Amino acid sequence: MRLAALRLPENPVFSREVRARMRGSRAAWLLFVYLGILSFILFMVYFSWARSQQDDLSGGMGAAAFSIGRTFYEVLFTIQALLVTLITPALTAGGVSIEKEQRTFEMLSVSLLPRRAVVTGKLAAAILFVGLLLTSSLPLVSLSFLLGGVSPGEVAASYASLLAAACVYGAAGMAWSSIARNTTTATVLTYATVFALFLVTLPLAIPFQSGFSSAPGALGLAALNPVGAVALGARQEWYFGLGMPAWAPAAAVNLLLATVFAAVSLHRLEYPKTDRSLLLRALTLALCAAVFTLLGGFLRMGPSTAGPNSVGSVLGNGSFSATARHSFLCWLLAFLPCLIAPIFATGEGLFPLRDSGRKRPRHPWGRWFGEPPSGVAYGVLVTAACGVIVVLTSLGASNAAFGFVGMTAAVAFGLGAVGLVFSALLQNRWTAFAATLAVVWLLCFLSWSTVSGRFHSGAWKPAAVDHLVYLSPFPAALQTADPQREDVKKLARLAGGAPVAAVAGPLYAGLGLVCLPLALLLQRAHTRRATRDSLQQR
Amino acid sequence: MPMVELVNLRKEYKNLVAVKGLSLSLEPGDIFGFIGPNGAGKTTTIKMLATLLEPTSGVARVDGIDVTDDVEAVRARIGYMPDAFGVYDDFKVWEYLDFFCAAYRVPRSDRPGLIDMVLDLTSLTEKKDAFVDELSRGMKQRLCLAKTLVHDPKVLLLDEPASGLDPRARIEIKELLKELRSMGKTIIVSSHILPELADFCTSVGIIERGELIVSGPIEEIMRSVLGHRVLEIRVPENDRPRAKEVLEEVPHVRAVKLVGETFRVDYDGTLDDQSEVLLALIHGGVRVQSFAEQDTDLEDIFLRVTKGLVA
Repeated sequence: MRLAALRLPENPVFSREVRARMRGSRAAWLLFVYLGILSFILFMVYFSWARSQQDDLSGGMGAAAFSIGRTFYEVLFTIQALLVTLITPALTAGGVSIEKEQRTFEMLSVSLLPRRAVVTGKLAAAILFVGLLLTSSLPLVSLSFLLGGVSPGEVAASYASLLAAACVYGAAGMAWSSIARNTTTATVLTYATVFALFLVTLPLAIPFQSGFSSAPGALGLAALNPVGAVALGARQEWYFGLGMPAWAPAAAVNLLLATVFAAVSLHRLEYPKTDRSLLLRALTLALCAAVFTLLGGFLRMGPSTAGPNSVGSVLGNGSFSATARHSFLCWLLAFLPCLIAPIFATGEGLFPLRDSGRKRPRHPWGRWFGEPPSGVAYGVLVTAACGVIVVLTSLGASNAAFGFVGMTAAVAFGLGAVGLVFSALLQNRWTAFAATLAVVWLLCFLSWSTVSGRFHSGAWKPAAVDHLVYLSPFPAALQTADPQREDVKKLARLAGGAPVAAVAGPLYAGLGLVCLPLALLLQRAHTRRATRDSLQQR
Repeated sequence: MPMVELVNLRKEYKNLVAVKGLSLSLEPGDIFGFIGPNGAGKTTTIKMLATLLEPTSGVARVDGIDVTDDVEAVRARIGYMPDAFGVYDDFKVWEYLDFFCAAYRVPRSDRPGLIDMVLDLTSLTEKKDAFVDELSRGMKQRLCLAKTLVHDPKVLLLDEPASGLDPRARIEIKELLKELRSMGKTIIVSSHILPELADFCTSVGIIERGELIVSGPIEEIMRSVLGHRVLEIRVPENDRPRAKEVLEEVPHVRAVKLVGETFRVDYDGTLDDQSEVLLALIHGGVRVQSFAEQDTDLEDIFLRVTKGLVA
């Protein structure tokens, strides 16, 4: 009896997925192709190495074997990282949408199976399959052990990192397959998301991969990217003076991100709709806070205290200057509202109309919770919370720092209110999202890129067009992080010595204050029109 | 307590009212035939009962439980078979049923016996180890029905269970439904074809554009609708004006209309009195070429109720 109680709850979706995936020859073929690619590349690497050895007999064979062992490991895992990035989304991007297309989803939804089981079952089955692919490469990897140069811990860390990356990419596929109407759209959106994630984290990883000695700024969490995870291997990163294997914090962040995606998937599975906005928002807040805390704490004590096998020692001492770390974090903080506001402050109108037929269960925290208006407040909250973390871990308490954090919160408010206006105007979540993103790009990115080019030219004189910089939160980030920079000094001259944040902050707050009532008016007009239409219909 | 109860059930979409204030009450063991043209609101109503759609207003209860209050309790009590459904192709028949057993939390030890039982009931025992995609359409339909039975639901919601089947498969499904009726289940079965349902339903409801036009025990409806019928009478062209005059004088004739070369007469007298019509015509000197009662099967009843008799 006690054993039965200890047994994992049964998940028929999981068993079905595993059974269906392994049935027939498809899985075997995929395995064959996967190992074929790895073997072929490994063979080419060996071949080119052997050719080079013929010409160079000066090195001892032991050292040579070491180096090829290491090369084998790096090549194998880099290729596997790329393959995992390519394969995992394909395993889940159809997860829910294919059930809808096959018309099996309704029967699944009327059963007593919780929707949680659908998401976790499909995701776990996909990750298990990726695990199988990875495990199948073990004989090839063991060549490295034979030749030397790689520790088992390093290999284990790489496998763990790749699995964590697979979780993120798989969960992204689940999320899109629950949102999109058909599998094609879901697949396209999933690959777009996965590539975006891969490319955004790649710059963190590249310095290690190519052995650059001067990395651009404080780059913690390099193992977020699967390629970076491989390059870091068993090295250490230092957070708040605390050394830990580089893969561990990155894997934790990746798993948190995967949980966010899985929650999105769960939130979007209809029949009947359950509001999971609280869970989703709590998870997103946790994710943002974790990333900022880790980055802020990264090498806080400086690389000089770091051990011989640490990231700092790879990059060379002094690469993590305070200003470099500060500017990275300030950029990230300025960027945060540009992403949070469009995501959380847009929706199908400001709140669902009462007789639109799209009734949602009322959230216990009130009618507005989970709807775009509360999303604006949420965006401000997340930005402010992350700002406080940046101040505490990196910038230090100063007027300039608090001014900057205040400005980013104002940006979150302003952009959120813009999102509300589009939601009320367009009454469609995705067009409102796209329109808000376009405004974000115009205000925050285009304005700054227009002017920054002028700043870099030697003979610069203030001109009217330069005042566009106040539209973007990024100049203020630069100024806060590194007031001594050449273009930052020009910024100060433009404003007559006042910090940029002191202009941009009120500007965005004003934008928010104008847009908020406008959105409410638009929504009211829409509600009236809708009510009139439905009355006419009756 | 009624097993299924709908009170003023209404479902609105953005610019369409799919179901307008439907009320209905079914006792345990009732077999309710839900008839209406495509797009009348049958599927929407069934989906609301199946907890797949939320009613805009009104109440739907299954076994006394509101479908919006306790979704899980309702789901445990219903077996739902959608009109268009798919099966997992890469599954064997027993695996498919085992999957739904697990989804309905049937204890592991009960499953083998249960699966054999529902397979026996749906005459699929021989196909137990066949792959689902090897089954014919009729077999898939029966398999889907078998799947809805694994958790022993009190109410079965069957949306067009016989659509797209050949006559033999239809009969098999019908036999199966009779079997289920004898097991005492409350069944709501929808169809756009009435004869399909007539011989085993205890009551019938005809729905059009979201409104229940007629509903009640099947005999009652037959009586009220069959009360009048259509006579088709052919006379030579020269006699037609005379015939029309005569026909309009005959008692119980409600309307006369010339359609093509035949008169269509809406007659609500008894069958015995029907010969009076022919008699009157002959006495009136009309040369009758043919005199026949239009075949009134249940399909016509349905057409009459939903569209009106003479177009």
